Amino acid sequence: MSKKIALIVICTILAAALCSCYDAKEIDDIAHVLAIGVDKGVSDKWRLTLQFANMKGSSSGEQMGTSSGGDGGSQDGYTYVTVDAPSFFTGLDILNTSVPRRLVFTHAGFIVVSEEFARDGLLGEYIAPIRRFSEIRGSVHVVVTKGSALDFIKANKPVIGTTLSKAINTSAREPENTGFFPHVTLDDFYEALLSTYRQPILAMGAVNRFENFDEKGPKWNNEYNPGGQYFAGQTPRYGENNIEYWGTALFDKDKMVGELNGSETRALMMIRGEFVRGFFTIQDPKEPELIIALDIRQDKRPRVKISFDGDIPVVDLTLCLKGDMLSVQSRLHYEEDPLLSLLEEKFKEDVKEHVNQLINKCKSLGIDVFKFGNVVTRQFLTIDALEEYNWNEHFKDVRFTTNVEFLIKRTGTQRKSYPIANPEE
Amino acid sequence: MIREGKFGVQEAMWLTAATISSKVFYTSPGLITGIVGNSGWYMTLISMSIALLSFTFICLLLKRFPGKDIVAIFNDTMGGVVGFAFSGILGLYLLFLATSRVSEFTNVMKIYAFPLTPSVIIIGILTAGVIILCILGLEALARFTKLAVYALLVGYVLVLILGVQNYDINNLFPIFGYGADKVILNGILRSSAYGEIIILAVFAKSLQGIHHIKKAGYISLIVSGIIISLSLLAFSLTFPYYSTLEITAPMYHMATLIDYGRFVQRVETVFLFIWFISSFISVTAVFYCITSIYCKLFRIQDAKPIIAGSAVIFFSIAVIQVNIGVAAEQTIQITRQYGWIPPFALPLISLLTAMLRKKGVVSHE
Amino acid sequence: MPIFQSIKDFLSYKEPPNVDQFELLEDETEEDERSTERKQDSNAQRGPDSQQNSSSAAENNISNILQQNRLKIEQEFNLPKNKDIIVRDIQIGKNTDAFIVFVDGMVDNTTINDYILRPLMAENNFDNIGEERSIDYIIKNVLSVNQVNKATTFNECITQILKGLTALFVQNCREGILIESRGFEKRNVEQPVTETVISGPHEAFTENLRTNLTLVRKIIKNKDLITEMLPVGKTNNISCGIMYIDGIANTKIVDELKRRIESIDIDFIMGDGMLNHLIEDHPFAIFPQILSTERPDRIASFLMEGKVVFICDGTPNASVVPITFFHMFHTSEDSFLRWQYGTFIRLVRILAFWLAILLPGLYLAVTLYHTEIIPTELLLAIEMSRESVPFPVILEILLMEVSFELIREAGIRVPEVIGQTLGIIGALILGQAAVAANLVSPILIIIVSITGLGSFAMPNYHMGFAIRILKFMFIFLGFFAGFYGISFGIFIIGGMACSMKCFGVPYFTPIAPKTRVNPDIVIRQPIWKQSMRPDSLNSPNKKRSGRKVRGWAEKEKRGNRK
Repeated sequence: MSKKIALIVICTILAAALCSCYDAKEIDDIAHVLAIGVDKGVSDKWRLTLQFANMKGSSSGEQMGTSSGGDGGSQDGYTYVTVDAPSFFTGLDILNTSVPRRLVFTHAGFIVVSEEFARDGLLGEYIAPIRRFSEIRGSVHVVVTKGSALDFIKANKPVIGTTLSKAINTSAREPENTGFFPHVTLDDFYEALLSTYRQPILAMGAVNRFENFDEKGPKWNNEYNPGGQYFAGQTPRYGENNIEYWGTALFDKDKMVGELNGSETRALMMIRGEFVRGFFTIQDPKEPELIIALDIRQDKRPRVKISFDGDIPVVDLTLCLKGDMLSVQSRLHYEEDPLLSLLEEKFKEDVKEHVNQLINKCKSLGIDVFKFGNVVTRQFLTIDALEEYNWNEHFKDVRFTTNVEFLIKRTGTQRKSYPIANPEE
Repeated sequence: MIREGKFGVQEAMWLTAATISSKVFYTSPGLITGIVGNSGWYMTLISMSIALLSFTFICLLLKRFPGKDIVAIFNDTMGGVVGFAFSGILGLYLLFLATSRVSEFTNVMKIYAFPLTPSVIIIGILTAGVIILCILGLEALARFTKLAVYALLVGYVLVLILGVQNYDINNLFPIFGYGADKVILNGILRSSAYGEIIILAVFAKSLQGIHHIKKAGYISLIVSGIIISLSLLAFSLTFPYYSTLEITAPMYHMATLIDYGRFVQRVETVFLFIWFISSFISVTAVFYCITSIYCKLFRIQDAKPIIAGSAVIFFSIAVIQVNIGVAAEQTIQITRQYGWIPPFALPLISLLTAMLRKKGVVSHE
Repeated sequence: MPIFQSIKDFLSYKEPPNVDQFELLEDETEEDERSTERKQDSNAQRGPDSQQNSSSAAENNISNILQQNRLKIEQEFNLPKNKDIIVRDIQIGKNTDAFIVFVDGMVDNTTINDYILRPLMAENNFDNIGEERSIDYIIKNVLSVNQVNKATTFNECITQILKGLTALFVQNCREGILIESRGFEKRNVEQPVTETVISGPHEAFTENLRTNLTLVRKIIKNKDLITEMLPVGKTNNISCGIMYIDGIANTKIVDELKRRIESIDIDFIMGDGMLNHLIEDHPFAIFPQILSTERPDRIASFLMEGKVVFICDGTPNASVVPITFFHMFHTSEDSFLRWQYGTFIRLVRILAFWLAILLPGLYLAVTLYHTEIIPTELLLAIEMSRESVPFPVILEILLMEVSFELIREAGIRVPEVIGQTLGIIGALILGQAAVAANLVSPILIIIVSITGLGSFAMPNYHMGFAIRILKFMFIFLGFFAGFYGISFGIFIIGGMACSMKCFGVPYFTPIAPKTRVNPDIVIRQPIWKQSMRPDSLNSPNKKRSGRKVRGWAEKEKRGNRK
């Protein structure tokens, strides 16, 4: 009896084998795409750019000569190809004929879209094939870039180490450290597109051509500058890395309608409850020319209470933050009362101001990117009632009040700082 | 007669629970949310209560005829012809259930994991596994289920727990979905989701006594209700109601979103094991019941030669369903609405007839 | 033609044979009855086997006339052709003729010379012989040997002579005397070869049955420990001893075992390896169903649980029935260590089991079908290292695995002197050079070595073989259908294993079916919690220890409260 079972099993396996294994892709028959870029094309409707590893980096002990940065577009073992095509899949097919291996998207790290593309509202069209394709996962990072996506991808190099994928992955997680740009995945974006009660946002990126960095010129006077007010691509810096992620792109469904700078993004993240940590500098209340730096973290998720005054929604927002002191330039004793409370009040005012400005800005655009709509759903019993109310329409009339709860918890390694002795005149 | 062996309460319980809950991995959650919105998770609890109620009737019926399985009972209470028809309907229902499960499984697999493999091979391998385990007997299947269920449960809970980062409580509101009336109505109609409980009645002879059957049945219904409800809950927490309609295989998609740091990403392929093994188990269990009913209907003593033949029929029907594609899905939808008739209504009718005709043993407790 | 016959057999229908499946069911009352029967029956050792007197009884019986006995012996033993059998004629007490028969080399010469021949030939030993028959007189007064038996048939004598006893035939007596005189060359008790432990006894079985039985009796000094002897092998006539503890072991198992052994009709059995295969329930299954071990302490612990042990002459192993899957993962070391360490080691072994079976198959499945799971950097590194390798992955893996098996097989037969070099050669050739020559990728070396290590970590040698074979099966399944194929394989193998029964006990007890909680499957609970014997054996005596195992701990608590 067992012999017959064995015979059946062997026959089945042989049969499967004879039909050959369709899905077995040898690992060296495929090329992994790491980044996807989409622009409006000139020769055709879309311009599709794909960046993938070209396996020319160093392998298992053999140190071949470093690949020269020729115009083929090879960068440290990575290369990109670009094509103008009528649709995503046609473009893919065209590229597959010129790239010797089959391109596979399972390890794609981010999708970058040009601002022009986003402002024309083409994202809705474009997102459809990407969403249905099983290879592109819902967790890829999506970025809108000033300029063209092709330039962005060209400039995308790993600054530290040689693995591009690591660089992509770690930079996508930077929001946890600074809060200057949001971490938005394809799934997030898509959900917000379909939503009846919120609007999508995307991270903003750019290729910084170091124009704002004046190497020579008059030195800065002591004006206070919080440092977050730049837009993407305008931060005054210089160095190896061209690419930067900074700020947020605001969407009204699939059309981009606005942009936020760094500090506004931080306020946005705080309201959404996604802010993790960041360094803030505020003006010293007693000596306006000097600053105090604080390390701010979100204590609890923000509390949002929504009620209705007739048809007008009334939002009561409470942010809960906590912080550590990082530097007190004036060396006054801010670590203890009464200066401590003064400092806390100053910070709260700062944050409130930023938050109010931001909400008013979005009100004027008529978009709710703060996830207030999510809380509104609790007020309705059925989906039909919710959709009838149409939160998106009513958002521009919302009345809101902001409160900030903030406590400074620790003061760093110094309990107090004493003034530097004055040099003898 | 057919060697069905004996096994205990725990094995029967887990076998039935695995058979019922493995449907949670396929397309049904998405479809449910399309109908009732994000209140699917307590709608299924309503279905479960209806199923519990119907199972009580089945138990009463089995209690009147101790030591007999449902085919013999139909025969006794309704007479030769009608009993034959009832058992035949039950058999056909189970056949349809199993083949639609196989075609759903194949479709989901082809979309996500094996896009190029022809469906014939996928169904072929599944059928081969089913044949081999049916030849080995029901005991072997029940024991294997008991053994495998630890790993399956751990994996299932892991998917739910790891998905915590994507949960948002606000996605559960509005709480009544598309309306409380729709929820209750669909809850009652869709109790067919728990219809596989009837397989306990089909192999009632392997469990020692009505007491065991009761225990196994109730506990397995409750356990599978919890499993299905939890997965629908997790699913509704992750996706708001407007995007759930679109997703083909929700549990798989949820696993796709797990993303902790650089390393724990893209782990949904690990959970493929759970889905494959639970599908194997459930299809084999239902297939075994089909063969068993057939043999008992035609009074065939030994099931082994029948298994090969039934497997061929099963394979062909499954392939046809896969090839029809969209039309098959519509049929599945219709059946889900009326699918509660064979497993719940037929035994109820049989019970009433038995009470009227005063057949069977009435135990005085 | 055989192939047509087999196809015809396969396609046509045959009624299944009506073989009674041996089931171990619970019926308490029957047990009590039978055990009392047994107790009354025999405490005395049942002597050697119950040979059937097939040939005519008359011829078989020892006759009065010495010459006839002598002729019969010469005829049976093919004397004078057979130079191993020695016949020594003597005169007892200077007046009675007699002769002794023994096998040269199997007897202890001192016993024969000093304790048999000398007292028999001494004249003054026979002074007080009165009305007693001479046989009884000789047994009681003359022979200064510790074990002496009377025999009435030739078959008895012959069997015992072949075992090393000496037979004494006396003129005018219808009985022969069988005298214990065994003294053949055998190996000393040495350290176990395959089952070494760090903290535990280092004694192992030898090829001699009596020594082995003694080793077990040294550990269990219980009057209810019974050894029953059965002959096996029609032509080579060795003995097989069945040991069990009466009152603890379920007599049904013993009876079934005896039934199976007695019904074997084969001419040559050497040791329990062959015997195992003849009495297994499922000879074609891949997993072993009888555990064989060379340590007496393990045998003792199995006996205490209620299992039945049988030992054969000829191999230094003893076999235990009934066995479940989880016993293959236990070693005796687990009992000698503290429970935390024992549990830890067991978990490591289970991990080794799964790795050894599944790792190459999983690697194939992941790199061919499911590359998403690998982190991107690792994937690119693997790709980079496979750039220059000409083979597809399946061929690489098969190459490495087959070479590994070759090395393993060769390593067993290599003489000790070259043993070290072989290890180095293996490592060099297969490892470094192959990678440098771009024949295999480096990650494959790691996979193959971990798989090999995993299969070495199995305590049971036979299970290790099962794992190696299954590994190849999973390699092919992973290659053909990725994770789907591997789950198919798990389903099939799991199903086949679950359908096995070993002497009525399902193979995966106590998990499936569920019996009373056995604190000793994977996690080893402290020894004071293991108070009941395994439920599946339905032994008549279920309790192992009293309620308060650690009496000193309990008493102290009460003392403190005062």
